[in-house]
Amino acid sequence: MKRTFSCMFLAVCAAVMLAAGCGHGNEAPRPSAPAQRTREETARPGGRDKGVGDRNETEEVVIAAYRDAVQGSGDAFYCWEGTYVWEALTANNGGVIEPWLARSWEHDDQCKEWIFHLRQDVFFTDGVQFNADVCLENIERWTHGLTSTYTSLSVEKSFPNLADMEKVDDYTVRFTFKEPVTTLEYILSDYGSPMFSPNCFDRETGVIYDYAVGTGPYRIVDHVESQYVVLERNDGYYGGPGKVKRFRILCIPDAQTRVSALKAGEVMGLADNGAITMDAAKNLCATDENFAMDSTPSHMTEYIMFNCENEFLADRRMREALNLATDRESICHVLYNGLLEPAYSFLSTQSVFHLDLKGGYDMERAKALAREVLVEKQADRAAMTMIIRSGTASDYNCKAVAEYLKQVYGELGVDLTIEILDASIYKERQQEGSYDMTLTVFGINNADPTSTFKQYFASEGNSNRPLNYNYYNEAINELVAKAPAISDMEKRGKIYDEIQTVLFEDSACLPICYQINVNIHNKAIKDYAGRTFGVGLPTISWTE
Amino acid sequence: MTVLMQYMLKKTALLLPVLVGISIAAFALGAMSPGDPVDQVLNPNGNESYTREEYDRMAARMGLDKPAAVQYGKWLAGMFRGDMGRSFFTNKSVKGQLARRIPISARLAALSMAFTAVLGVGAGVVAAVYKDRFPDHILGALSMTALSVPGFWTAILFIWLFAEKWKLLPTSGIASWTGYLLPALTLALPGAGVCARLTRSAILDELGRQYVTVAGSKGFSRFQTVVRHVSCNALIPVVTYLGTHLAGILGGASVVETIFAVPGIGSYAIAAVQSKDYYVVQAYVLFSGTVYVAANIAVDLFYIAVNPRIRRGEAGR
Repeated sequence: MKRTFSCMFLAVCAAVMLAAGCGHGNEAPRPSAPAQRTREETARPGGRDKGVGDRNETEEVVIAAYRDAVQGSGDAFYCWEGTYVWEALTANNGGVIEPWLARSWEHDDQCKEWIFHLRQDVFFTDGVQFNADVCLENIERWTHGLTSTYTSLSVEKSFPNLADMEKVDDYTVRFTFKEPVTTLEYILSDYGSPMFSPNCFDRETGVIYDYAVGTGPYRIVDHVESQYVVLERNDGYYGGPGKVKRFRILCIPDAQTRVSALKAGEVMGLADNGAITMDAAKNLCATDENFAMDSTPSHMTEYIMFNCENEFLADRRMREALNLATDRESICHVLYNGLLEPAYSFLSTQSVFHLDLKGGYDMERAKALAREVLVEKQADRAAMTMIIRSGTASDYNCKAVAEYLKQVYGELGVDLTIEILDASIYKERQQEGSYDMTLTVFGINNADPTSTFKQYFASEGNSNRPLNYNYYNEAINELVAKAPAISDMEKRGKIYDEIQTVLFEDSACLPICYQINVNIHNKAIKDYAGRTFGVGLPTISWTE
Repeated sequence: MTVLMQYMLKKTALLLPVLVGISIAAFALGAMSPGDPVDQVLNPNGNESYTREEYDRMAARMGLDKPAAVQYGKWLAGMFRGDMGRSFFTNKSVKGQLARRIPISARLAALSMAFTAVLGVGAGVVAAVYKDRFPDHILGALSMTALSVPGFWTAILFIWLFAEKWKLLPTSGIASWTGYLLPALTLALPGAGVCARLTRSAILDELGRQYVTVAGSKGFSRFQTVVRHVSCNALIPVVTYLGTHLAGILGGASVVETIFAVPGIGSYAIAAVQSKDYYVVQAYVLFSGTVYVAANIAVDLFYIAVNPRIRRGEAGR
């Protein structure tokens, strides 16, 4: 009897599965990824396509992101840069600093006085013209201790050691500093200098009242918190209007649901960090010809950071052994489907200061070096703990990488225990120093790497000791101290080259691979290309 | 004063110490758990540095430079004024967020409850009427499956079937009422499974009683007897279960809310717990505690309403 009913139940399930299986897409080769476009192209998308113009005008394009693209009044930036609502003085386009609301800038020999020349053809979407007064009012706004879920915004961060700021004329502002600031244009890029209409924020508190009003090619016309934001084209945009009149960005926190929404045709594309994993994107494009993938280099890099107080890792030879045993080519090829590039330099390929270093994979030498250290320490094997933040493990393929490393490091005599931890516990473990290495993914804070080098590798770095990396190298200390005073780009670049070389030779940390942003879209829309923040909305249009 | 009034006063008087107790427990757990909210505010992307002065300034601004007891007292005083504080991270008013999210969770809970009751009680009644026959066996298997399958799996299956394949319902979001259907059904299924089994066994218990035999001798069919006479008595344990089930959903169905992008109280709470957003967690704990207590009171009132002995005060003697 029981068997009969089990069979019937299974039959019902099978019928449901069969019905669900109908209409499965045909397999198709993955389309090749288009080349990365410049911000200039983004800002000036040009005219509208014949035949699809009406659709671009009447039908909104819906895309999905994992978080609400608008954080709202409580947030210093109000919305994500990828909404194309606000703009900054300068833009970091793949490591290259470009003019944005500031059309040019100059500084004195000492780098204590900076003059920014502002664009004269820029209007906020409420009709207010952008000029020197508005620029200074915005900078005043940053003094109110505004917080953000994106990154911090303060005068101290954007204008370190600012002595004075003044209007030179209607479209020129001067900043004077107590100490030399050699890379102000880098610091001010993107989230370093957001500009809003003075009518949209409270001058006393800096809080944005209702909707943020920026100068960008799109403006917010509707927002339902944690659900969606509707963006409408700014037809008076100085760089030329975008192609599609309206975008709707949905907030779908769950990765699987986002992909389902894409497959169901509810959304035309996915945007923002970790919108889709590389595996999922590649599989979807390979099995359904309606979708295309665009991958653009990211400023994020996957690293192994060491706790150099570990008795084995304090020895450079052990770090080098781990370095030599880490087959980055295989990791990129097998675990990341050949989409990523192996990393050897600390700075990613998206930094203008990236130094093209090439390491090698040499298991025999790695074993010999590890053996030397173990013998000296009179140990057969070394037990080490690798910690990974759970968010990092889910957004990237870190778990698989860690498992691979556990296997190969085991051959060196290093027994690795992998722990995936909640963000707060991960941070606490770092602060306590109760870990030996961490597999992590991060990018540099701004286009000028000085602060990042200092943060992670200088003795007094804000992360080096507090997070127990405990790295000490006098040469790095000297170079990091020397860099900020050098205003000549070429000379400063040489210092950065030197720092990267020292870090590489000393195996201070192990860069594993340079990450990419994966953007996937339905072929019903075209020119869906990734940017540093999100996708280039102004260039997107309906295909038919 | 009636028994009912006395009962209500007693229960209401108990509510306050219960809420204070759970808020203290929540605050203590939050304070003891790892992580530092000041660090998370200053370093939102995990890759920024700050000075000791900046840290102290932010801690003072967030009120976290004071001893835990002072922080709790300040929060409690604010609560009495109707001020639930602001989120550390989004700077949004907690009260405003709850006011916006509770109705969403309430709609979801009500719909889910309706599904649970209709599917669960319906299946239970049919199973009891057709005891040991084909419908009973098939419903038994289905109810066991429903209560055994984890919610997230059901959610993924439903999205795949109803949205991806058949394109009948949206995958996520609550832009229209149809957006509530899949999450409500996902939340309802395990409850419906339990409810069906409870209903079946309660009805079968009642069917063995003398009044059923009398009803049969008066010419009532088995189905009529069950619907008219047995169900009232059999529903008492079912309603008890439904009360706590409703409180559970209303108090936060975080996983399902996250999967279906429903911006309710559950997804709000889970984000707050992860980021140690004390004020949000406290407010959530108070809300869910109140809901549980209110649900229990409602169930007790139902007992009083359906049981004449309690109404007349006999049960207490």
